[in-house]
Amino acid sequence: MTFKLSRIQFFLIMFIAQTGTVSLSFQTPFINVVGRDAWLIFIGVGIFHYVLLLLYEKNYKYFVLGPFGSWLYKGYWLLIIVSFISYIDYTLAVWAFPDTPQIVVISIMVGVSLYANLSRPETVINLSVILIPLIPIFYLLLLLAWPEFVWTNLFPIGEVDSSRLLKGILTSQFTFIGIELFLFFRKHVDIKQKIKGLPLLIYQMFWLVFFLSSVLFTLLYFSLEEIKMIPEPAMYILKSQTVTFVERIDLFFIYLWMMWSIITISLFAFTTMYVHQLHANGHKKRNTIIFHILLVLLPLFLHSKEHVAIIQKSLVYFHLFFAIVVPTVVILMNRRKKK
Amino acid sequence: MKRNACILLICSFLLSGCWDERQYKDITIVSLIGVEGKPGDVKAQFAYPTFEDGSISYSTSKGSGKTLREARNDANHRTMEGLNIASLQVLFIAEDTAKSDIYEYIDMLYRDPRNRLGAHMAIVQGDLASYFKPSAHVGDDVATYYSNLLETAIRYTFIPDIDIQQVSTVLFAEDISLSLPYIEIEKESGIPEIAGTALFNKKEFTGETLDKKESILLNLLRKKKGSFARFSYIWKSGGEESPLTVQVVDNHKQWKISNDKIEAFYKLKLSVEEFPHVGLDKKKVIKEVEDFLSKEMTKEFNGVVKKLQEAKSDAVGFGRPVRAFHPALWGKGDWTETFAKLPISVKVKVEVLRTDILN
Repeated sequence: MTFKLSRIQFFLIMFIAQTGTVSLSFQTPFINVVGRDAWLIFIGVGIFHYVLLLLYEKNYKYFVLGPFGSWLYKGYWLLIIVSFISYIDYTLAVWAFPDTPQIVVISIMVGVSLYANLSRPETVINLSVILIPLIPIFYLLLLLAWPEFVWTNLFPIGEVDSSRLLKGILTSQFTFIGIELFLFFRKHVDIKQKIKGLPLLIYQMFWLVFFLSSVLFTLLYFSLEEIKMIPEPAMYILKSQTVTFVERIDLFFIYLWMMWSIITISLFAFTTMYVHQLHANGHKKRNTIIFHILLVLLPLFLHSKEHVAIIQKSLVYFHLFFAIVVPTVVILMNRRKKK
Repeated sequence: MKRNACILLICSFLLSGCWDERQYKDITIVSLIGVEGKPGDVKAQFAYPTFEDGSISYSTSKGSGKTLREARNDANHRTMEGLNIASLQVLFIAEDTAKSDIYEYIDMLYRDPRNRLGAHMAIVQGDLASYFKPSAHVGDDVATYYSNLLETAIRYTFIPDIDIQQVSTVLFAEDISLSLPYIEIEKESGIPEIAGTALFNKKEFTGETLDKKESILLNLLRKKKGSFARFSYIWKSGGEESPLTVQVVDNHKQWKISNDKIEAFYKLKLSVEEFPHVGLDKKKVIKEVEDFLSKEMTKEFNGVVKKLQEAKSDAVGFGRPVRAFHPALWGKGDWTETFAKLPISVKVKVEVLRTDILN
């Protein structure tokens, strides 16, 4: 599979893959663990994210996977997609489609991904563009709650102990999921376009502002005890906003988020098929169809919220393995070989 | 190909039209709910529009049960269509019912994703049924009447601007007490009207209320002014007196918090709207008016704070900066108890910004 990415396409893929599904749900478990210190800790987590990107940028050329490593990553992404689809399906059943059969919702989501992945690579890559005008709209809608923000909710700080801090850092890793895509797509970026330095810092700032502001909005809007009851804080912020042109802006947003998530799934599916093609001999179309049939069938087994929660919790550990441990080992081995 | 993918993506929005449609012939939209009774024995009334001979009138269905949801199910047995509360406009809770944990009654509304949380909420005095069918004519659309009544009162700073979402947020906060609009039926006319503000301690109504003027003062203390906030006085100076009406244009607050007291300073910028006394163009008279208003308002603001302390209800939210920045004071124990005993003084400085069209 050959394709070339511009710098903007590359960062857009990264951003959509990292923010899509996770953006709705990561705040509550994170704040529940670390309390009011969440915003401060997330700034620290953001620095770690930037360091990781810098290390990736420095060493991506040494990240060359063999067939075994590729299969490991394919399994990991399959788990991510299945977990995301299950969560999206569950959330949509609660907010938008309570009576629509699960298989119909999943089939349509996966159908979009299948259609895009059977097309030229540019189709999936450019699908993210559709979200560019929608993300600022999402922000503007959230900012309608500004008059109800309580600034004292951010203080006092420094109350978290070391054990909760560690748990919080672990929980915040949900926002990192997808960062490993950097290692796979970086080499496809037009060599004339610079990534190192300011462009990477700008991407990092987009990522940080996006997630940090969602943590801040949650803390500013809700009391700490209330957050424990609310799995999707952004939905509740939007649910209580009154505008003249839409009766329920939360429902408007859930469709936007669904779109966002479908594109995230398509990107992960694209990455999986891309890595598969690196070591497979042809049959791209057949493999893509089989993979997407799996994506429809596997989430059907996760029919309770508990199953979805278990898979989601385990994702963090898989992420640490595939975003830090495996790249470190592969890069070190390849560096040594080259020496 | 890319365009087709986008079309497919957008078409997924239409999913809800297949299985999740709600037809008006199957449901009836409830716009006003009243709750009375006690936990475990909830009685609720649901007002919904009915269409007869081309005109709208409001019907009421009553139900009872252990919870509000069970009461709604019970009321459903007496209606042709299912009661749908997704477009609720106003929620009333009877005064006596509000004296126990009110979250028990709004939990159903809060946690159900289908419900809108922007509905108004108020405490009503006396018998709930009389608010659903008031003896005085308030128009056919009783729910809209209450909704408009509350919105107007918010605009005039008579009551706090608070919906079900914010009620829940305040109920779960330890550093501020809830205050809700208080409605009563005027004895002579039989018209339901805004009587002031109901004060809460934790999740329970204290039984104490503020009248309309005190409610405006409370909202100014909270720095939550509506579009208008007016006060009237009889100005007296050197044997002369004159009626005086002012409107608050701007409001600045500054709180000084130490471990044993709170000093609150408010600077109000006012516009004189009514002052038949001649001479408001003279600096001396303006200064006299400012001093008079500063003194009167300081007295009134302190009166409201005292009333809040007696009710153990920190409706202003003094607890918020205390919790955030004064751990020693916050750590003294239950904040409402600390608040009730804490010396709190308010000082108001008035500045006449405009003397209206005459100047």
